[in-house]
Amino acid sequence: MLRTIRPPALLFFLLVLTAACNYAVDRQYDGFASETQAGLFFDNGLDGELRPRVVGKLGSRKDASVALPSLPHKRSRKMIYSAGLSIEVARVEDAMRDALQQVEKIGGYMQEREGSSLVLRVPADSFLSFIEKLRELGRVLSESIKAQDVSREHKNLEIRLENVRKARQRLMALLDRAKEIGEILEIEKSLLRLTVEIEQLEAALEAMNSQIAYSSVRVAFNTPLGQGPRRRRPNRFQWINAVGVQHVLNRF
Amino acid sequence: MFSTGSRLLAVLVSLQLCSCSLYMKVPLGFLQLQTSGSELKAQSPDEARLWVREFHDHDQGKLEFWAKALSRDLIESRGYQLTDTRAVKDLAKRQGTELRFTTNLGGTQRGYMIAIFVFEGSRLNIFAARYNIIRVVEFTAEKAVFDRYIEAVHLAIASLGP
Repeated sequence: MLRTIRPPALLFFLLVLTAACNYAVDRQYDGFASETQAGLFFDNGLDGELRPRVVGKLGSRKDASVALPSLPHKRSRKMIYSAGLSIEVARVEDAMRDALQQVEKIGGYMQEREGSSLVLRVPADSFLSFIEKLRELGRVLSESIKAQDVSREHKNLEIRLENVRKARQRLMALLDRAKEIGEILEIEKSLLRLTVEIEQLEAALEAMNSQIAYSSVRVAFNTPLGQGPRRRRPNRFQWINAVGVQHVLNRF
Repeated sequence: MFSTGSRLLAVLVSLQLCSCSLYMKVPLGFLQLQTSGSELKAQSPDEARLWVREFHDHDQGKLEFWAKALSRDLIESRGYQLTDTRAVKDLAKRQGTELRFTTNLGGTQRGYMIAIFVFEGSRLNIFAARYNIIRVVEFTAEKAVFDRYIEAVHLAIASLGP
């Protein structure tokens, strides 16, 4: 039967197939229940290397209610959390070091460092507790927290990817049975287009999963009265220099 | 056999030596580590540390001055946060000032308390220069441990002598 199909007819068939895929995306989204699948996430280490990591359902973590006590978080939702803080501290370098230690402790990483500002990525389930730790570093001058629900976009991406993969499989089956050069060329052309589309969708889904798994926290440290970073100057009175937590811990 | 002057000198030297040894009834659960001269150390099993020390002050500043100078240094230069200020008395009923802080060290929240007493130092003879003694009681631990012991440490300061 395939031999009787002419290239124009094949093209028409492909167009109908693609349209059906897009229609299927919308239809399937309408039926979207509260399912959240476990997925493959990627840890982006300090060396820039992507490390795959399987992450379970966001809502299935036992400590989720503790970690995110006040965010409008639903277990079925795919949420991207981000925060921005400006903190006044006595010594910027010390505060930055403390912040980085905290990030490493909870399995996060530094994405960017510019002057006295840091962009940190922290596991979503430690997001609020990490903000609390940052607040303890000094006096909070400003703070903003955002939660973006990307459930719809995430599901759309998944369904589109699934449909394009299925379409590609069908084309592969057609290719196996195609005999005429014209048909083969047309199918391969379509296959190439779908392959590129699959790669783009996979990349977009991966980027979104990374944003969901790792919240972004931008923190700017400032010294009081807008002074530049200052180092502690020894006190004129020697005994004052000899007391304090560091001394008790180091010279006890 | 001994002249009155020699006996007086012996008494003064004895008094001087005696006055160097600090003592304090450390809070329950603390182990007193060292009591030598003008220093006393105690530690709890959960790493809370109590340290009593003395410094000589030839500028002879008053308690109020030192409490303010210390507080300013800890807050403005070291980023400590003052949480409480209390009046405190030692065994001899001398008035002192107790300052309580929180600070972040290596990503860990810690409590820090320092109590200051200022009194006149003993002189071996009337020609020796006058000086004050600044006696400090320091106590630090991770915040949860600090909160558990702080009131016991506060009460123990009342037994600090001489």
